[in-house]
Amino acid sequence: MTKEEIIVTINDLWKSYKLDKIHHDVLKGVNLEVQKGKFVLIMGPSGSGKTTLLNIIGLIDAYDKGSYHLGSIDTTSLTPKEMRRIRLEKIGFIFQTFNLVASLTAQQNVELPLSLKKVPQDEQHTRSEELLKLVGLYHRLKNKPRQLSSGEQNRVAIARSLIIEPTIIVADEPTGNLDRKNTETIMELLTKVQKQKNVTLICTSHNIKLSEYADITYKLEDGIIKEGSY
Amino acid sequence: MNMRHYIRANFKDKRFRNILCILGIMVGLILFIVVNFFSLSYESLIIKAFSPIQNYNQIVQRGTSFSRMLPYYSYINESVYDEMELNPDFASADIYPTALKRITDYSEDKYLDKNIVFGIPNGKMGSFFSSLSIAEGTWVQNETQVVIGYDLNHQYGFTVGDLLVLEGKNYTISGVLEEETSLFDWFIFMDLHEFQIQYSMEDQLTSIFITYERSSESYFESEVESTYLDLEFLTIDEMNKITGNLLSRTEKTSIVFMLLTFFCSTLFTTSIVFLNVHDRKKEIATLRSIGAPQKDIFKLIYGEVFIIAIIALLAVPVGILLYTYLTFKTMNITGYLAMTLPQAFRLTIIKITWENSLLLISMHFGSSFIMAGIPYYLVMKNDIQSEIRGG
Repeated sequence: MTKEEIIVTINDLWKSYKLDKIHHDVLKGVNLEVQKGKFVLIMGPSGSGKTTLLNIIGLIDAYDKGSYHLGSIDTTSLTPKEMRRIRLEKIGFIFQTFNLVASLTAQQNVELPLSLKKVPQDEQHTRSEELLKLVGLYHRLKNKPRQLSSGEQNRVAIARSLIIEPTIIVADEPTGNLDRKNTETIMELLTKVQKQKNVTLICTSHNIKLSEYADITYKLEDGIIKEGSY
Repeated sequence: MNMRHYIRANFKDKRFRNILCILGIMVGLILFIVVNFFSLSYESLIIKAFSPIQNYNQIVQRGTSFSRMLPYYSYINESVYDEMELNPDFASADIYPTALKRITDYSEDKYLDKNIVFGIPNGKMGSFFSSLSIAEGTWVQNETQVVIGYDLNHQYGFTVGDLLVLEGKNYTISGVLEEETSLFDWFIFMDLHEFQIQYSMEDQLTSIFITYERSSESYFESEVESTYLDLEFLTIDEMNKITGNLLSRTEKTSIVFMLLTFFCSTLFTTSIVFLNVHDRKKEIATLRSIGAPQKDIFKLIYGEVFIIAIIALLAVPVGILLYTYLTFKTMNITGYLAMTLPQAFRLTIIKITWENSLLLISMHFGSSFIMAGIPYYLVMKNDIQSEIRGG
């Protein structure tokens, strides 16, 4: 594995939370390397620290100890403002509950990260239409989230995560709210666009079925990555 | 898409709530302006009621009783005399300067009690008391003369040409009123100027006398005496105090009502603004997670509050139009706008000035902005992940 190919490097990463005045170590020395353009699935039971790890990778959360490199960027000394800028430039997010803005149409939701980057509107339209076509929702451009099914909302969230042409996409339980059929459809779509765009996808789930789509599956247990399967 | 589209979309999405919010602010502002108007117009009416320039025999209702003010000599406008000359009906309408005083006095060996001295310019007595007839003699011609009621003549035997000693000074009786003139049977009439010197009332209002509502029969019979024994003499300061208190109380009530309306409206508005932002904590957290600059989130939240505030400001022209309309309506009733009344009758009362009004309106909007800021601040302070999960 060459140095250029690795997009995420995590060494001995520790993270703890204080809950009711008691310290809980959530991550206890996680080591992880993710190659560019791969689909990495992190599995584990509830409370194992999957979301915490994903939030750290997505620069939403900070860690206590260890190191994390996103490409060539050492995230240890990043200020909140720098972290925000990197999130906007390089990281796409897919949330379990999709977190679409209720007042905006599907197209506007997809364009949202670009509008925050002050990209010209014509370019926003072109890119959002292309992505919504890619996820099969071109006919739903003007629909608001409440007019879409869960599966459709998930597709809009996928399109939104892709619009900034991110280095990595972090997806926290992206199929957690979907039935089996929709899970399959979404995962097929997600892997298809991930390969097509050659973007790194890091995803958490406790659904073993998702490992069928992933390039690598890691098992996170008790704050430590126990094993990885290719 | 840009932030403007986003703000507009958010505003439209919560339009029912936002319209309620706007209505809340508008109702508050309009009520504020209108209640302020009522304070001013009430002042105008009260001042009019006590003003000597036109028809100053206004009655101010006070429960079941009423107070009635006789005009103060110093404020009689010369044009009123001219009008009296031209129009005898007008002249008989109780508009002469007069003065009253209940007296307890000795005249020779006769103890005068329950009598009232009535001061009125001597040349005007005939027209003022046009309903009264002189049984004997004439009306007062100069400051040394008095006219007495039937009672003094009948009870004490005073007659025309007799000397009547009041406060140690001799007066010649120039006339006696006819029998059974009811109210004035125990009155003594003298020249107003002489009256004011004699009773040291140069700087005083003539009188306010307070009567109680009663049937017309009893009014002119036995109870008359006791009614008039309740006479009170008021200085102009006391007079101002009474009217000032009356106005102040009414205006205080108006102001309390206005502030209460304002408080409720502000509470209503701020609650809605608070809820609007609070409901969008998850949305704000999502925006933060995808890297939205703080500046954009601020614009998004306050853009909506700003739209609400701007639309609600329509209440100001609406309120002013309503205010103007009502002012002119009142002017038609009273013949005055408060600001055109004589300065001497402008009482010192509590009023909300335009400067204070603007301050209150600013406070209203300020509180909305602050209330929007609380959830905004909390969500910006909290961890993104906990807001996303919590939402």
